[in-house]
Amino acid sequence: MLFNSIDFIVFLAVVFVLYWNFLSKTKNVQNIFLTIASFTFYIFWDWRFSLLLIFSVLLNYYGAILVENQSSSRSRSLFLTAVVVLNIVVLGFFKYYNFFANSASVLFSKFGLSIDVPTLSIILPIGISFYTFHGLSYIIDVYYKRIKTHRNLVDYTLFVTYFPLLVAGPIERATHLLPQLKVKREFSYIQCVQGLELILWGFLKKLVIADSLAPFVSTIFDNSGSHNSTALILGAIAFAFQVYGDFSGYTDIARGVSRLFGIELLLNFSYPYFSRSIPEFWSRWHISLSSWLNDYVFMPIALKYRDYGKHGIFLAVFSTFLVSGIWHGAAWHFIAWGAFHGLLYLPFIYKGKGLRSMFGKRTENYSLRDLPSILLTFSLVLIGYIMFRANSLTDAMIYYKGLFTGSLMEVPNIQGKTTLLMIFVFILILLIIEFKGRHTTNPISHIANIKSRFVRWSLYSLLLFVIGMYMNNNVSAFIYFQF
Amino acid sequence: MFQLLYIFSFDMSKFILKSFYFLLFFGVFYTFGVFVLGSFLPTELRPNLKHSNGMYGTTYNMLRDAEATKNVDILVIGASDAYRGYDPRIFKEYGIDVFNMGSSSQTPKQTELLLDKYLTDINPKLILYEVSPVCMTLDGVESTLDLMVNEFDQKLTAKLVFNNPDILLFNSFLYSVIKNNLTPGFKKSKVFNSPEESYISRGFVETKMKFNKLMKIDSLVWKPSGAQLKKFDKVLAIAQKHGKKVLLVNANSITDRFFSNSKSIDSFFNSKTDFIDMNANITLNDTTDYFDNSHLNSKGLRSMNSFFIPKILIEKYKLK
Repeated sequence: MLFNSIDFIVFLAVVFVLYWNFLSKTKNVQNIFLTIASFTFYIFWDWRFSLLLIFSVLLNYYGAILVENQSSSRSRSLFLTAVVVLNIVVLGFFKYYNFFANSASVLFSKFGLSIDVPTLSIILPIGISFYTFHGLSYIIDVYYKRIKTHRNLVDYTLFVTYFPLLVAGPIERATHLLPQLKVKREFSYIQCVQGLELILWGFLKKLVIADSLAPFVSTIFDNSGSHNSTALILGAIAFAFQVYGDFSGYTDIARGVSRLFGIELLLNFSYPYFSRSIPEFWSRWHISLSSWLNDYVFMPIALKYRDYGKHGIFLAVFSTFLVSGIWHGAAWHFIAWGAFHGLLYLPFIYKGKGLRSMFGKRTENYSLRDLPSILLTFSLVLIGYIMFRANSLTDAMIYYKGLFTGSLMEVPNIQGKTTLLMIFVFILILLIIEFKGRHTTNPISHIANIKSRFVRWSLYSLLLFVIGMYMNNNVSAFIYFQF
Repeated sequence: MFQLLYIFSFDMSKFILKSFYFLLFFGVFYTFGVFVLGSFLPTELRPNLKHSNGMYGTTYNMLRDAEATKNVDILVIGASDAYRGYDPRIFKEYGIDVFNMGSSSQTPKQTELLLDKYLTDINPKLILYEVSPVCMTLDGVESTLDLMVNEFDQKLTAKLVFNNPDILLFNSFLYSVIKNNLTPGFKKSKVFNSPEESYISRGFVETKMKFNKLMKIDSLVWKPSGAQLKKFDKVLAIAQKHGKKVLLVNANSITDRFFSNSKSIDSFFNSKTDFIDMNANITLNDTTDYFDNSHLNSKGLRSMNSFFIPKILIEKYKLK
């Protein structure tokens, strides 16, 4: 059940009305109902996946209790290791088995050995990367005594399976979400309006920007050899806004839907294309994953190798981005993309005082002098996106080569230039709205403050009208569902 | 006002009522917006609103012709293979009166409604259903637009639009309703003019003589849409209800097929009623008998019709 489907709209309306009017007596009733709704939502994809989801919930819930109950640190780490390994084995089997099997066969053949490691026909359970990271963060936090175990299976199950975040995040933390699930939520008119505003903005980004760019991006990336350099540059820019519109649009819808139920989700995007450096970009892009990786990969490695100074930090950064690459997909081009971003940190590590965390300073005050660094950062991100979007590392190389052949003055050899131009006008409007609204977590939230109801409703209607007139007609899944 | 909603809390009642008022406001705003955009923006700048005079060719002429036609020997239905593939003038040479009700990408969804509206008056002895496998895989949006912009019955068009939820259809239908009601002159001058093709009486479209440049085809596996299959059965049922015999025909196509599983396509149609695959009956030249990969040119058309009428219709089906 995609967010951008009639099925989901109906599902949401039914759950919303039942939740606030008939099943809101106590916090327990609310949580049980939302858990049932979440499983119903998940079963729409494939009921078999829900068995794996239940396994993951039970493994981490009881695993954390076991870890907490151990008196010696040795047995604590033993149980932690066992649960973490089990989580990774399950994730690895479904997501990476074929990748490693194929890579092993290729490696053996390089040494003249013909060993055929069998591959399996495995369907990737939707959301597995997200809910596995949910569970891992919970048990690791329990191990480090940052939190105590939550001894209510329903609350914990809802923490992992809550339907707005189940299939593509944001990757929540127990410290943020569980306290909200421990108390009864009250209906708030203002919160619902804010939720609907987020949903509206998310749909606009997904349906008008991302989905409209999708056919252009596919055509250019799937046939990069037959496009000239200007078309390839446009293709990379188009992908940058496709993936942003798609994923940040999804996240806005998820956060908006969650607000309708009185639950606040983590911010996942904060105007990433206004970043002035790569570390700042990572503090604005997919924030819930970046901060997860910062806390559970970067920090432990950086601490372990702190005696090696800046080299230790580089090792931590590079390893973190390799993990990020692998997390995104079982393919070498994702790993190369991760490595590329790791290398982009080199100047920030070795110059001045170095780097204390993966994240750069994030301020919303800009001057015209920031423009060159914004453009440079965006260009570097684009270079990385080519690896990310290409179907393979070889395709990425063909794409890079194509960028440097021909003239930058050539007319792009792509079909549908008028449509593409129109989408770029929408992107420009999007950027202006986001820049003006950058001090808030939702750039259209100021509409609610307009006193005149006519103007307020006209602006909401205008946004809906733009969706109706310019949305791409083909319903397509969100890009991050594949991860 | 809030007290009317006893089962909801005060805040929830406020939320529901305001949402309702907003939806009313939005409905008016949207309708006005569709009217403005449709009236002033060129088609390429409004991708989800397609509605212009003469769009999709000659259907307007065909529908007006259909309204004035009664009691024919054969009614041809189907997509472009139909209205470009069966020439009433050649049929006339054999003394057979034909009306061709083919329209752009006509799928069973539209065929059903066309038969509902015209079958009783046209009252054919035989329905020749040109079955295009491609059309069974389509959603029917293009064909619905074709009928909509060419003044097909508004109630039946509404039925098509609401049974086929699609934003493009919805916007275009909304626009056509506003325009038809607000602008009396909107209905005029829809006669299609093109240097490439011309409308011939009784639903046929004649294309300027040219030869096929043979573009390469990547064959796909035929996977018909479930909704279209249901409608296809409905079309056959309507014909049966009116006591009309249906002959399914697949006009000649070039050697490279669009679908790799052509045998299963043939057996599907054979399982429904009498089916003639013209490729199995007459061999045509891929270049000189077609003007593109899908359609016969006037030379190929004459060859096919001159075989089909005497050998199949007259000899085999004794139609005369």
